[in-house]
Amino acid sequence: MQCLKIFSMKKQQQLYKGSLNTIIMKLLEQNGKMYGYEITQKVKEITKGEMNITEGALYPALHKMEAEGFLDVELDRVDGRIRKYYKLTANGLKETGSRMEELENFIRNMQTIVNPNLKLG
Amino acid sequence: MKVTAKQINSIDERLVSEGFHFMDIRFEVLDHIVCLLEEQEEDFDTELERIFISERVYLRQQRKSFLFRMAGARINLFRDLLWNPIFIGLWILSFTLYIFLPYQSVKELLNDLDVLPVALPIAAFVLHGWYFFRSKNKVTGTFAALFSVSMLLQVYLLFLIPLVRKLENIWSVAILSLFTALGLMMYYLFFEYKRKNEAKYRKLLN
Repeated sequence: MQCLKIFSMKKQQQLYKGSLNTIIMKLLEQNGKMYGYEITQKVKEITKGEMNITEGALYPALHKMEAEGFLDVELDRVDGRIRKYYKLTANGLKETGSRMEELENFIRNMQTIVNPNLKLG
Repeated sequence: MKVTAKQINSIDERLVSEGFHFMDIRFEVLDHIVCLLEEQEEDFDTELERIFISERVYLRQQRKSFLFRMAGARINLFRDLLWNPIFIGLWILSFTLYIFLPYQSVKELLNDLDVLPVALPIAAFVLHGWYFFRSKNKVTGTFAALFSVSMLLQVYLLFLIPLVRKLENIWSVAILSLFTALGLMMYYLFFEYKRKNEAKYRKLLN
């Protein structure tokens, strides 16, 4: 049973993979600024443990978006160490809007294909 | 568990010994590991070992990322280089020097000195190398000048030297002195970026 659950989670991770940047951007839009570990925990919390963003995928995505100018960085000293917070730039905010629109369209199309009778609210 | 300052230092030391030489990459990894440790209840050493094993893929990936980040660290060519009064000053100075050098013709001058802009920053490369191995608190951005200026000098070496030789007039001296100034900027920008980047983090470290 546990094996099946892990297998199903892995399959889901593959489906989420293409939307990782959009998920991160949406979270930053909602929460202002966040650090890496906080993002992983927030995703776990929202999806009730169904989705798990690995560090190996998260940090390269954050660094790439930072280099592309979608994210800005703020450094703070927290409990004896430096913490790197990420927040959306004006460009990033605009990009989030367009990516969310793309994602919603994608979900709507998938929904139409998978279950044409079911309508999204 | 609560992670003490001493324990944070010991994790930092371990990260350095495991190849996290750049401070701007290391502190994010350090924060992530400490966050994971804070979730645990067992003793520090056991949990730290467990985390270093379970996170080995992430650690390996982050360790390797310095190469890409160093290569990606570019300077703002217009703000930091071309509009920089020091660069303009060096350009004028080298142009004047070239003009007053005791050569009979531009052709002679170019025969002897056309590769000088590429040779001048050699010591700057040595400086970057020495700093790379010596400093614990270096950041990837300090190497921005190394990559950006050396790319420009390669363009000069591969494409512009033939042009400079072909022109053989005052414009070739202007191009030669422009790249001489560029080569010399490697020294200035190294110290400038080192000062700027590290001051930003040092304030947070103390």
